[in-house]
Amino acid sequence: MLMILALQVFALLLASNVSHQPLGATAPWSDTAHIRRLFDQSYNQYDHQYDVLSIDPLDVINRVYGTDLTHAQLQIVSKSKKSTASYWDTLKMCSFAEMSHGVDGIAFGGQGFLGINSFAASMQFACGDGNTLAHGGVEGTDRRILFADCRAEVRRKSLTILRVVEQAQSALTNENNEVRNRGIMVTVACGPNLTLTRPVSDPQSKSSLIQFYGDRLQDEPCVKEVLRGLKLLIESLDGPLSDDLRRAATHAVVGVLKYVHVQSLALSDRHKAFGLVEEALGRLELPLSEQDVDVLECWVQCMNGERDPRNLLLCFRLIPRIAAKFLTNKDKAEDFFNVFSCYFPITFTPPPDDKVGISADMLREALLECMTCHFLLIPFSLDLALSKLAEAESTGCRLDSLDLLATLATKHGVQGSLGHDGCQQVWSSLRLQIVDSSEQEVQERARSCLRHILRIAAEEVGDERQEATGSSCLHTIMKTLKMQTTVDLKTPQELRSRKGLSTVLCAVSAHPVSAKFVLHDSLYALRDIVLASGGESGFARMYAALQVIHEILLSSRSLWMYMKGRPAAGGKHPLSEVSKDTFDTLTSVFVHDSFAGEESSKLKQTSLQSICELIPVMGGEDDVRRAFDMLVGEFVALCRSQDERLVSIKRLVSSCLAMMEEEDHPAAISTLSGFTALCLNDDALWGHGLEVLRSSFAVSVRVARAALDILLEARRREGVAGRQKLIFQGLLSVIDAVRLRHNGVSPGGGGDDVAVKEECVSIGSLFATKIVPELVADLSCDQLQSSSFAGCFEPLAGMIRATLELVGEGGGSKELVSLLLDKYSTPIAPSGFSCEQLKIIQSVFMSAVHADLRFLDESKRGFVRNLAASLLDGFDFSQEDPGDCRKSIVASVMNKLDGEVFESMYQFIVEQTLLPKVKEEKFAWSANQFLAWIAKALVCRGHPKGQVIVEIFRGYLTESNEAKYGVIGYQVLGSRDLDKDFSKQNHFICKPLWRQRFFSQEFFLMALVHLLHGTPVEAVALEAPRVIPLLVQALNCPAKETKVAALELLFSFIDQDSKPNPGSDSTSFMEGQLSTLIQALLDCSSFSESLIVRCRALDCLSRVPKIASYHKVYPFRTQVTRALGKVLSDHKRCVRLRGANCRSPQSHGRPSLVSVVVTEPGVEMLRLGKDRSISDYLERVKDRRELISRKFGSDGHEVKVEQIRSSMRYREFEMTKLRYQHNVASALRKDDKESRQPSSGRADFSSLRYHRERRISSHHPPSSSSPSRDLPPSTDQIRDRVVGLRNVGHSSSLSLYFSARDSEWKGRNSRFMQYMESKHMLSDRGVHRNTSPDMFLPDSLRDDLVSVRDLSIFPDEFQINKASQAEDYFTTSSRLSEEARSVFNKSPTDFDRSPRHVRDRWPGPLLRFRSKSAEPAPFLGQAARQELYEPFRKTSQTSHDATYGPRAESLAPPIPIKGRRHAGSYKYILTHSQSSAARMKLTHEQGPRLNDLNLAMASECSYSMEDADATDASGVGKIKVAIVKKDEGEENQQLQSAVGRDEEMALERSQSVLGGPPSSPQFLLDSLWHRLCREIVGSPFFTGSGWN
Amino acid sequence: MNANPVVFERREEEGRQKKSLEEEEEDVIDAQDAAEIFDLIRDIKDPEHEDLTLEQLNVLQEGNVTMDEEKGYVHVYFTPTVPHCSASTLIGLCIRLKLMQSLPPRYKIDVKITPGTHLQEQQVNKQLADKERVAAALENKSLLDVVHKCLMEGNRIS
Repeated sequence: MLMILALQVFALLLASNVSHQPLGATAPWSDTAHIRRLFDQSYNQYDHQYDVLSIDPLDVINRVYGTDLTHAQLQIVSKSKKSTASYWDTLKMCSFAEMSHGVDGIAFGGQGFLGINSFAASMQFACGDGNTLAHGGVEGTDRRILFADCRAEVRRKSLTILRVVEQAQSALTNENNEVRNRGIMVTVACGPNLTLTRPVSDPQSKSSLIQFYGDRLQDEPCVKEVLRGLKLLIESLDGPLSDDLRRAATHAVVGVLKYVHVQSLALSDRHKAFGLVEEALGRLELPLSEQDVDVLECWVQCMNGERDPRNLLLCFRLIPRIAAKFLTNKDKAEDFFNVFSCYFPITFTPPPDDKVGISADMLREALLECMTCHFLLIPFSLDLALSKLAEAESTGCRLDSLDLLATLATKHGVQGSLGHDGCQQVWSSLRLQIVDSSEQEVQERARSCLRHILRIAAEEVGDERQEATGSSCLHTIMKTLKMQTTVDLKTPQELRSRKGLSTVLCAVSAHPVSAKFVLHDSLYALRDIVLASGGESGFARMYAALQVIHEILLSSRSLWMYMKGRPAAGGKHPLSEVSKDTFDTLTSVFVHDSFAGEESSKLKQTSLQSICELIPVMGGEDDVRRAFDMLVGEFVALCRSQDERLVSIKRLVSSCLAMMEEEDHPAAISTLSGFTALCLNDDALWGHGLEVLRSSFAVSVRVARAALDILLEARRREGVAGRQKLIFQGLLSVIDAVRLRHNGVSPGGGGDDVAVKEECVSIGSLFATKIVPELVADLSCDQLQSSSFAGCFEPLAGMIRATLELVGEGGGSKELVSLLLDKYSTPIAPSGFSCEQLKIIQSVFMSAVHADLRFLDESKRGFVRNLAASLLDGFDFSQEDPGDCRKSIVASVMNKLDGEVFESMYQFIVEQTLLPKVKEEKFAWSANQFLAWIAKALVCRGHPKGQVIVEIFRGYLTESNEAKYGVIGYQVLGSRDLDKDFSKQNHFICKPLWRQRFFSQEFFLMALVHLLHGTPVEAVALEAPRVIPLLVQALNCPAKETKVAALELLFSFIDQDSKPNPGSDSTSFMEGQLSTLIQALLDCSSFSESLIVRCRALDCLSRVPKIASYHKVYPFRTQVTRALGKVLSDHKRCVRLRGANCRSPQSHGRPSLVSVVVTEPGVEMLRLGKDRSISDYLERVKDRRELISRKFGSDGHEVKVEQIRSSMRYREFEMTKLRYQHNVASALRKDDKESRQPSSGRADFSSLRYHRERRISSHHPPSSSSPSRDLPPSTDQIRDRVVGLRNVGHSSSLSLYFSARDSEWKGRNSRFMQYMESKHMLSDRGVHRNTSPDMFLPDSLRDDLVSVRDLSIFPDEFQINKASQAEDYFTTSSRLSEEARSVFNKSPTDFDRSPRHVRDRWPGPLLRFRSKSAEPAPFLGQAARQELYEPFRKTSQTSHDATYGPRAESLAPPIPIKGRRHAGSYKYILTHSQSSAARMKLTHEQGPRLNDLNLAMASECSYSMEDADATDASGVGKIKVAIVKKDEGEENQQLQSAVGRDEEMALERSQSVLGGPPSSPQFLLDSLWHRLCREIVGSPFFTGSGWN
Repeated sequence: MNANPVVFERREEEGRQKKSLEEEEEDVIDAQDAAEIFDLIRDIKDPEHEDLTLEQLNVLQEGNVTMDEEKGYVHVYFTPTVPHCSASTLIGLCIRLKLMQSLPPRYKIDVKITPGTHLQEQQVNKQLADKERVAAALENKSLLDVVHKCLMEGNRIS
């Protein structure tokens, strides 16, 4: 056993290490001799055991010895073999050596026997059976002959396979397995490529042989040799195969698959079998499917159980082909899949010193390929992967599973491979791996897988054909992802949330589409976290959120790269949409004050890093700039560690450079230059010495160069203006930084360092000599015109300025200046500068010449001066200045210079050059414009010389010929378009609010007045409504000239107006402005500085009465008279004379509208006293009644009474008037009676008697037997209640009112009479005491002083038909009755149906005009009211008489009058505001007297229909008479004809009021009133011009 | 009433140059003198001859006007055309009213009849010197009307 074991070990050793090659030839075995010795020894000892072990000794020998097998050794071997078997073995060995290695048996030399024998033996071995061979090997002569023939053939190399087969025929058909096997072996040995024989070359033979072998495949013992032969044969096939050959080969390969049990074969044979299949499927492309065989099933059988890596690799490579060709049925797919999926996940460790070269990765890749090769295999692969992931076996398994998923997605698409459900599963599985896996590698691989899947899914979305499904897949994942993210963000466990959020990062970095899905939501959620964080636990959360944001931004960078690689996917970065908000979020950290110290620093650091990442994807340039500012500002403050800062800056600079060079990002330049400036001026950096400085400078230079390159590149494209400006600004910031450093201004100082200075100067020189000239040379006006010129040129100018300052006198300044001069100012030819040159120069000098520029030494000032001089010298003032260049340059220079230089320049430019030209017609326009520009430049810096020039312009305005130049001046001075040039951007010296200081209202008024002054009055008069208020304002200007001009204008206006000019409407405007105008004129009249002003003002003042209505001017009389008192003492005679003129009342004019006309003076109506006529009485009250004028309003029937001064005296006047009317009424009633009762010739005073009776029994209601109970009140009753016209004010519609009841009026009138008596107004106390207003009637009538004839009121006068109308004069007008009835019927409570006491209380309609809008009585103030009410107070006891009501006759005591009288028909309420105010005041001050006052005020106040309180509870006390208008057209005609004629006016009014012919009592009242007016105007009061 | 008065020529200012406003100098003080007073009243119309001024009727002469600015005293003598002139009071009233209106209140104004030119010289002078009576007269409407009429067209702007 030990022996067998040893042999087995040896064999295995060989098998495992030895290929088919001979050992000694190639294998560098360490001790070949030792192994050979070992083999010899073992073979000698255990020769028979090889068979037992199925070890082919020949093979072993072959391997061990190879070509080294010598004859001697064979001999030794053969000698040692005594048995037949050994002998045969020896022979076999010899023949094998001959056959395999070409050892010619003959070559054995003297041992020819052996050679011959060995061949014979081999032939016999091949062809004969063992017995024959054993016995007849030596003896059989025939065979010897045969062998000899064979030997000869061999020698001739003519032994064919046919002959061999013939020879071996018996062996091939032998029943003995071994014999058959040997026969096959012979054929194989002699077949395709034996050295002994000629190889089979003809297709016929080959096909026969293959066919033969194919048939022999079912012979299991021989299958090994058959396979060998087949393989040799099929490998030898090449080129297009004949049909026979193809058929044979197909047959053979199918046979292999079908009949050979591969897995029972040895390794090499299995390999041969697989190799055959590979050949068939690959190179030869044999139609296996044509055969009636299930290739798939056969293959499954073949492969099942294979373990050798070489074979496996071969199989795995075959499987995709097989699947592609034969996998059509889903049912078979599972078996097929199982045969190779069992290897998943494949683990293989190659042995040390592996020669085969198979690695685990090769196997894994091949296996993945197999598993994903066919779509029918996808479900199995997916299930397998997911189950493997779920089982969580090993890391490798998970990784392979993830790879499998990724490969699936790659090969078949997300939708194709995963599907909707698959997506869900895959997402959950991946998320599980990402979140829960403990291995970093797995997490990473899972993320990568997720990203891969998402990207593919998103690309599918982009693919229109798969849009519907692909998007659904992507949506499925993203939807879940978003939901999960939302949950994650809320999860308190930070780590978990971070892991979960890494899925978001995957989505962000995968594809723009997927990024778009999550970016918005997640960033906003994070923003909320950041913004909401606070407190102790807030820091961690906020920090985590910031980190996540940072990671998202980092992920987006890869996305950016991804997008760059795909033009189709390129476009707007998804982050750019939310970049602004994200930026705000990040910057909010800097203002977050919850954290301090280390925490704050960490937060800010993270935020800044994020901002750095954010910059490239930010959309707008402004945003980028903002972000950049943020970075610059915060970076220095934040970075505490020097190293950290250097690293940060370096990174930023490099990233900016990359951005600039690669992406041409507009913000890159500014960012980079800003950071360069930061580097240069960062004191911390400077602490690192010159090296860092140099590196910074190197960066600067690089910036400049890069910028130049970009500029030149951009110039080739379009739209360079913006970019160019950007580059300029970048360069400017660099050079400015250098300049600051050079001057030691920057925080780090360093100006003292010589090396630093040198470095700065060298940078400046670089700018001066190379960069700036290049930029300047590159500029062209075309570009500059497109944008704001100065703004575009500003950076360059600043650069020039900085460069000049930096390099000082040397180092290129001369070159630069000379360059500028050479380029732009050399051609100072007679033609002057070209427009383009001027623009350049303009920009340079408007912006570069700084006011306090240090380099502007004497020589350069001289340069500036000379330049300005040359500009003016070369200018032809008769032409327009193109583009205002010269003007702006000169203005810029004048604005900035100072001191002696300014003086000399001013002298030269203004006084010597411009002023002589401004009045010459030819040059005036240009010269004045120049002058205006200079004036503006000086005014805006507040220089006094500016005012001088402005005065020149003002002077122009006073002269009509030159006013246009003045206009130019004011136009330029006031122009806002020019303000952009005159701005601090151009380094103009502009005082704050200079415009507000200079352009005051006064200024404009002055300009306006001066302009208008030169304009014809007629033209200005058209604009009078607008001009006059301004002129009045201008009068208040302090400037003398303005006043004079305004006054002269006004004077001309007034003069114009005083002429009859009906079309002019300025009169009314003047009237509207009277108060301000007169006050302003009065102010001017005392203007001490100029007598012209005073005189003109007085002239105007004297003419004011001519343009305005008298009643408008009248109120100012006192004011004017008083104010002019001073004028009379003026020190100038002309003023005094004018003042005297103005002051005389005659100059105030006369009443322009006299309301009444004197017709019948001298009618003495009433005897109020002993000798007093009504004229006397009215004379005394006349000054209380200032003016009554009437006008027809727009509506045609308005009665307008103005300026009635209500006072006690006026009331007296009024009362008297009423009495007068009443008398007349009574007198006329007599006529009325006569008309009704022709027998009566005189007036019947029954009504008066009745009235008197009623007065006597005033506490008794009218008896029930009153004839008028069921009827409206009679004329008598109406008349009794006439209290008169009072408070006739502005009225647009007239209403009828009821007055108070008789007794009440009687009480009041009695008090009134008492008052009058106390004032000695009434002499006859006995007569008048306790009487009503109509008490006068009997006396006066008794005295026969009044007669109807005297009144001269006849119907004729009113053109009324006597017969028809006479009876209506003082009887109840039928019309009125109808109206009254209609009113009653319309009243809320029907009169007839009312209770008796209500009807009894009915006072009857009383006629009283009142306007709705007019105030009943002006508020007179307390004193006046006291005067007014005093008499009533004295008679307070009598007020109780006024108690009124049906119950008064009963036992009920009299009810005192209070604020509200509910017992009566009326409530006396002080409804008007003024009355209320008065009452309140009086209540406060005179509480005890309130009752009386109430009564008095009630009498004063009229009752408005609109006042709800004026009605009693039943509403009966209120009626309203509709006003019927007449026909408008006829009315108007009548109205126009009636102007100024009071009778007609009254007629019209009565018509309009009552809507009927002048037959009503009201009309008569009016006519009486006007009759009275005649009396009034007949007095001397009205006769003269007595208005003083 | 003198139905046919002797009409004199209006005398233009002799000693005083008439200056335009522009020629006037602000700094120069124009003292009030008799001529100025005369200027104020010379154009008052005669109540009886509405188209003739008092100057033309020789009622007023510049020499009859005296004034003392320092003391605030103005004295005007007027000469009625006839010794029995009934309108002399009215003329005096006009002159007085005009001066009251045209002079600052610090002046004491005396209006008198040139001595020996009127029969009722004393009464007239007394009336004109009596403030109450002047005031009362001016209250009289009809009288005032006449006065105003005389003064109305007497204003002349130089």
